[in-house]
Amino acid sequence: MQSESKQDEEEIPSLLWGLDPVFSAFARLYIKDIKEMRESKQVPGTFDVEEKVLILIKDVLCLGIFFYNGHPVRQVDVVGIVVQTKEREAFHSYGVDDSTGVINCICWKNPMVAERSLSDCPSTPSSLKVLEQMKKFQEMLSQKIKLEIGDVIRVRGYVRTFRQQREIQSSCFYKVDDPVYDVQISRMLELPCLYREVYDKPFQSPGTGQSGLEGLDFLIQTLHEKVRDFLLENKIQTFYQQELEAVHSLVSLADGPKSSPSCQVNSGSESSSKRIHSVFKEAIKKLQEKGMVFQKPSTSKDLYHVTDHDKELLKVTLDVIKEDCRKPRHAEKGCHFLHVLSCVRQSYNPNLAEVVMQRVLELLESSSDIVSTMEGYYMAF
Amino acid sequence: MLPSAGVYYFPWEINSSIPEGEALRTFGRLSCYDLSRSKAILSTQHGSAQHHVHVNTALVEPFEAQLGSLYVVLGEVEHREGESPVIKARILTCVEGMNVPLLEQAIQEQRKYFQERQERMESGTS
Repeated sequence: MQSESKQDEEEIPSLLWGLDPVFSAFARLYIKDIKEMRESKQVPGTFDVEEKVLILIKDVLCLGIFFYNGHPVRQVDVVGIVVQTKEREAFHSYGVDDSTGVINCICWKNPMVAERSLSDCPSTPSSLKVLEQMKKFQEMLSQKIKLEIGDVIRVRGYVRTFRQQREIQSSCFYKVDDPVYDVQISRMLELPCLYREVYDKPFQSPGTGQSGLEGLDFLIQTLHEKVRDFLLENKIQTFYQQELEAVHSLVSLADGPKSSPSCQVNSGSESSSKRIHSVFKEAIKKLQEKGMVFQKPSTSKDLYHVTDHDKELLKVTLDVIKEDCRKPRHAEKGCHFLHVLSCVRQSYNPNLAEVVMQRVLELLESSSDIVSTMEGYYMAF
Repeated sequence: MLPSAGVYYFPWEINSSIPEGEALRTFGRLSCYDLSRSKAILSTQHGSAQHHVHVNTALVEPFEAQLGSLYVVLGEVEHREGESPVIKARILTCVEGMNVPLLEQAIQEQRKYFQERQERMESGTS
């Protein structure tokens, strides 16, 4: 999981970095990981120059890329306690401790606050007010960026290696008011989730990943949703599979991305149509499992009925509930789901699946023909 | 040179088995402060037992000691023969009002995550 174990692996080509959301985000990593993550070979972040030169070129030093678990990291976001301070002419260097590691953060002094004098501004009464506000603002600002040992700091910036030391060159930093520790606590609670959800999951660049099976599953999933929408939108009551295979918008979907590795094995039009056929079959099977479509023993075995549009089934079910609710033993609670199911099976279709029955009851309920009195019990008036 | 990271310890975990010079942070209520000897004690109730962490405050003085308030301390462990370990504080912050159970939970979550990661790495390499 960690950078070291990935050391030997090839890094993602820089062209694809932008596809990983981590690349354009401020990665909220543990300081330990920032110090240990691997430097990119394509765009390293090492600068071994004199400090004076470093100050001159500070604005172009935002280039180093690092890898945490295969994710390209450009910028980071840390919160920690200042445990060391050093002042230079142009910047403060703060040692920041987040309990996993300590890293130096280079925080540039703000020339706007330090140098600009406000005295040479014109002094009309209205501008005086503005001037006063500006002064207050500057005071506040200078308090926010002046840190001492023991203060809590939040830093966002670029990572670089300077004289063999990993450090953060801040693009933004401020003192965090954390009198009751809640900023730090919430950070500690947040980070494990972020790591599990994002940073520890490998980035799948296109071209790698997606095994053939996954691709096919995805295709079936998409197709079954499209077929469902198609059936409902066009109010189709019954259909044969071949009829669906004649619908252009569905076929083009089932044909799938031709470049996907799962399809490359099969070539030629014959096997392609076979594959389309089997994808449709799977999609319809999925619809059957969800109770969206069903078959009747009385009709052709290739004919499918759409549950939502089968008026007969809806009517039979409603009649069963209506009739039985008149009987004294069902009058109070209504009929149980299994009771309705067995009645409908007797009078309509002995092979009717439970999911289909469920779907029918949902439809009747949403049209207010029946109401459910409690879990699994239905009543009609 | 940067100091090492102050790893979280629960007050009841501080004992003579912690290596000398280990940087750590912990918390407790300031129950006693002896200005002349730069000694403070942070106390915590854990289960039925009362735990006392001894703190050397020489590096953080002068500070406004609020007896009875919650403090977080960050410093290095020092052992002396026949005595309980002392934390030489680099940072001692009053955090009165802090949600202690939530901090404990946060420490547990962080440890759990690193432990999981360690296990994953070990199973990955073996």
